[in-house]
Amino acid sequence: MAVLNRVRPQAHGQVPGPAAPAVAILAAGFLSACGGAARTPLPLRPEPIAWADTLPIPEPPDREVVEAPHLVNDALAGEVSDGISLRTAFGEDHEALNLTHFDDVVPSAWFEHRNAARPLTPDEVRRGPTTAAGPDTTGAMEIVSAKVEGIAPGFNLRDGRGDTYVVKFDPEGYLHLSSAAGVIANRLFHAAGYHVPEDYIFVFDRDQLSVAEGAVFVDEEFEEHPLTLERLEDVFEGTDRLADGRFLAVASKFVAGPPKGPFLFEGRRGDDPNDHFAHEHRRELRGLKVVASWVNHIDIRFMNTMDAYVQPGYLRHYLIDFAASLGSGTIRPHEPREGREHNVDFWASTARILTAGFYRVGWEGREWEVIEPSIGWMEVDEFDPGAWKANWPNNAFRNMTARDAYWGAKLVGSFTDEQIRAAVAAGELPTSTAADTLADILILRRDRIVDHWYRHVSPLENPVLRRAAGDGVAGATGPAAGAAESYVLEFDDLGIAEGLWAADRVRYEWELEHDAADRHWRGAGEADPAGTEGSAAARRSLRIAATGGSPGRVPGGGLAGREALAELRVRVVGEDGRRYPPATMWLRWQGADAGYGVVGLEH
Amino acid sequence: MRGVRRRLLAGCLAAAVACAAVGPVPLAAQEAPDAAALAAADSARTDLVQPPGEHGTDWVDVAEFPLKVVAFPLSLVFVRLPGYVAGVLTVPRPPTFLVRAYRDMSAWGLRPGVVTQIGPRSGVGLELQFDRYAPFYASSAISFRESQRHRAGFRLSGAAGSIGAEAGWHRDAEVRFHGIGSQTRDEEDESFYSRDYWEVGASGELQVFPVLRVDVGGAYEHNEIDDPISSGETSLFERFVPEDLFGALEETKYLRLDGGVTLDLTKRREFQRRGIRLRGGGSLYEGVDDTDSDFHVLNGQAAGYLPLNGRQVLALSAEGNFARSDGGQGVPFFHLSRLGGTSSALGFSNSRFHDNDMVALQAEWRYEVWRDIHNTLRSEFFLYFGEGAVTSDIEDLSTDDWRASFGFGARLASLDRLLGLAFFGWSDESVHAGVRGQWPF
Repeated sequence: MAVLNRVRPQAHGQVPGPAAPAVAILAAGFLSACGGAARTPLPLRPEPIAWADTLPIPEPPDREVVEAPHLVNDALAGEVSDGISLRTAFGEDHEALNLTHFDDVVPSAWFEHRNAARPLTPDEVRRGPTTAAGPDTTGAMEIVSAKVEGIAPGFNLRDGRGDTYVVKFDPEGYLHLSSAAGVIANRLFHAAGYHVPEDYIFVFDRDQLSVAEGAVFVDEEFEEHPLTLERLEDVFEGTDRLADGRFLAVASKFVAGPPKGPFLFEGRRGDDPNDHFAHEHRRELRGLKVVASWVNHIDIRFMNTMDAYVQPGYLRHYLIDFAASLGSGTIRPHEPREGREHNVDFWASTARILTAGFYRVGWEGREWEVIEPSIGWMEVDEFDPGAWKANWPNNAFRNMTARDAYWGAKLVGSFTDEQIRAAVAAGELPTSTAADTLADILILRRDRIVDHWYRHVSPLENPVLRRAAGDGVAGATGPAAGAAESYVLEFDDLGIAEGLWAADRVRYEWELEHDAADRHWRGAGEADPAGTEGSAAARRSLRIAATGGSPGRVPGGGLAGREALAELRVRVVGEDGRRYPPATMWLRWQGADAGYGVVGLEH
Repeated sequence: MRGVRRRLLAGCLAAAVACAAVGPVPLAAQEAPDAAALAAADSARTDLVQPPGEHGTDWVDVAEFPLKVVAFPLSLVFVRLPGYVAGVLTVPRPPTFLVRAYRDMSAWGLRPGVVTQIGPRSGVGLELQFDRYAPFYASSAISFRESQRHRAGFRLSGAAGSIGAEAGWHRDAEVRFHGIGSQTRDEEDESFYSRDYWEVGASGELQVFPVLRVDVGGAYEHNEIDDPISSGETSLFERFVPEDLFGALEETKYLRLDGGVTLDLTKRREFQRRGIRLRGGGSLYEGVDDTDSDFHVLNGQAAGYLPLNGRQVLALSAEGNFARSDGGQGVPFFHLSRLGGTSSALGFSNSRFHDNDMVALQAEWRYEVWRDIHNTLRSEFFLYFGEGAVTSDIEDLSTDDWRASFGFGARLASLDRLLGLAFFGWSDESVHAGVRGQWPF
């Protein structure tokens, strides 16, 4: 109970900030170093509660966040402090905080388990968040406002059903480029579990449009002008038409509820009492980097996010605007630098200055050409998931640990080839060749991500521990019984499932520690097929017994808290002898008859 | 009480789960949560036992604390302040009264602006241009050193070139002069003068081929030399014997003919210029009225851009300026060739050396360190090395006349032009830092 009290949530505003007195920080540091919450075994920490952040709150005001100070801070201070961070240097990185006992997150206003939890059908992936076929083109479509200037002009459209959409067009010479990329990425982010608006490919005849009575547009001088179709001439002139003369655009439906500004990738929103976890320590936002790297969403930054106030009165957090994804840079195809270097990359620029320009990385001076106008360009052969960078850094991405990345990679790895092709189909690319090419690229990048991040951990899932048949010690106590006790650990090895290593070549090293019972077992060996009826080939079975180390004794009854917990670390040893960081399975002693049971998992 | 709270918590969570399960519903069509619901939610939140929302302080925070104390003021100056300024400058907002007034004036044809160079060592100034009745125009500029430029004329421009005429009055308020020759002393010989001159002339340029441009012109000019405008500077008349410097005491009047040819064989690939550009030209001065002086000036420049790769280029320039007497008292001192600072020899002050002839060899190694995402801007750092000399006759040039300077700096360029550069320059006699809006190669 004392432990539970220690890790109860801190009230908003009570976190010691940099301005807190040094003495308090020093004292807190030394006290905390003796046993901080981060070091508490996962099963002893409270779990986040599903949907707890969807409790009603008073409607917060809309907020405007000025972007430049955040970008400068992230690009300079953030990068410098990260580059010289003692935390990174000493391997003391903070793990995410909103974790379940099995290293996952709960459904929330930020994320829902979708494809990785229950495989969606290809049709569900293709439909994504959509509830209709897009703007209703059978009735009147009225332009209610417009952005006729800037780099991505467009307008807001109200259809016959009364739904409002943001309509944006492809750049001239690249029909389908940003519209297809936006819709495809929208489907993939949705299937991965993130909240996104309903984005549609929207094909229409210009004659179908009219301007709503009293509609205005605001120019760059912030002056309102009456909106006319003639005013939209530049918008239509700046894009290409389909062969039949119709226009093609992406239509993004207004999300439910009034918008309340973007969410940041750090800190908490002060006017949202539900916003409990610092955003840079949220698993969904850290792991988002891996998903973004998959779809090459380089423009992921807080200005492309949105909070909306929805029923029963809470803030739901959306990712919006995926036009700069895949091979599209919104107004042109992507270039090799994008995805490899931040827009203002402090360390790369510093290296170039100090080396008089001799510092070069692979993408510089590289020959490249657009894959195809409707696809643009994105990294294929040289895609390195670990080196991928968004245009602007942020604290959540910077804090991503191997565990976060593995979690994100599991989202990516959950997509089958068929699902990917279904998502690509939603983009309505002009030819099947283009669609196949893009799907092949996504499949390759998915495989590259899985191969990269799964190797940063021992990707073992769904562990179950049961007493080995006939170990003959159930109910017994004492050292002799302790030595004879044995278990069978069953688990899914995602490395086998994904073809990273062969089931008959991989070995496992394991180590069980239970201090309260003086147990330090260790062993190694190959795992057998689990043999459970209907289990996949990746389901393995490993015998855990006191074959090495100190057998200890059978724990007595009445153990509680930390004393009842044992730690079983299992690591994959590849056929090349490479030893992967172990997965830690937390076991709880359940009594002499039942033995240990798995109550937690950390990668 | 605890049981009631638990029931409330369960009720709130059940409602939340139900809402989340059916997806977001617009609040516009619903009643906002009432006070009772909000109170129940507050109560539920209080009872929630979740992991902490922030990490506690650990030994790393303690160890990093001194670093953060040191970094705080640096962050304030180099991050927070620029961030704030960038925010102020970039946040979309309605234009202020001043901006609106400026735009209205510009639309009407009256354009105020900032100019970085009105004349030699003028410093930054303000200019007011009037072109409501284009192609006719008038402009007036004055710098903080009180250099001035007032002119009016017309210019007709087309794809093949342009032609125009202009009349103007100029004042170079504080031009530096160290005497003539390469062996003058930096501090001991430093002096300043002002030059007022009228000029009425016409000029035209013709793009013969895409790579070849010819320009011609002619003018009447009337020069008058005086003490520097600032009384704090040492006057040329105090430092030197003015009788020894033709043009210092007397008003000089000339008819001038100008001509030049530019062969530009450079190409741009994205931001990078590559290739060779050659320029040659000259001016012929004929003294009029009581000015007993005829002379001519020939100048030429060869610039080459050798890309080392897509992001590094070696820029080379060889430049010469030769002033020769054609009779009478020859070349007035203010029309002598100059070396230093403005467009050559960064390690020296502006116009540090004067003599009939000047040659300058310059090399810059430019390397890109940053490019914006839309490929509209890029920043290069550069290392600079220059050797230059002035001499009375190029045939008598000796190794002692050559002066070396070094430097480094940063350039900011758009796709087709230099926006500005900042530099530090060294020589054996001084160190200089500066900002330039233009650069000759």
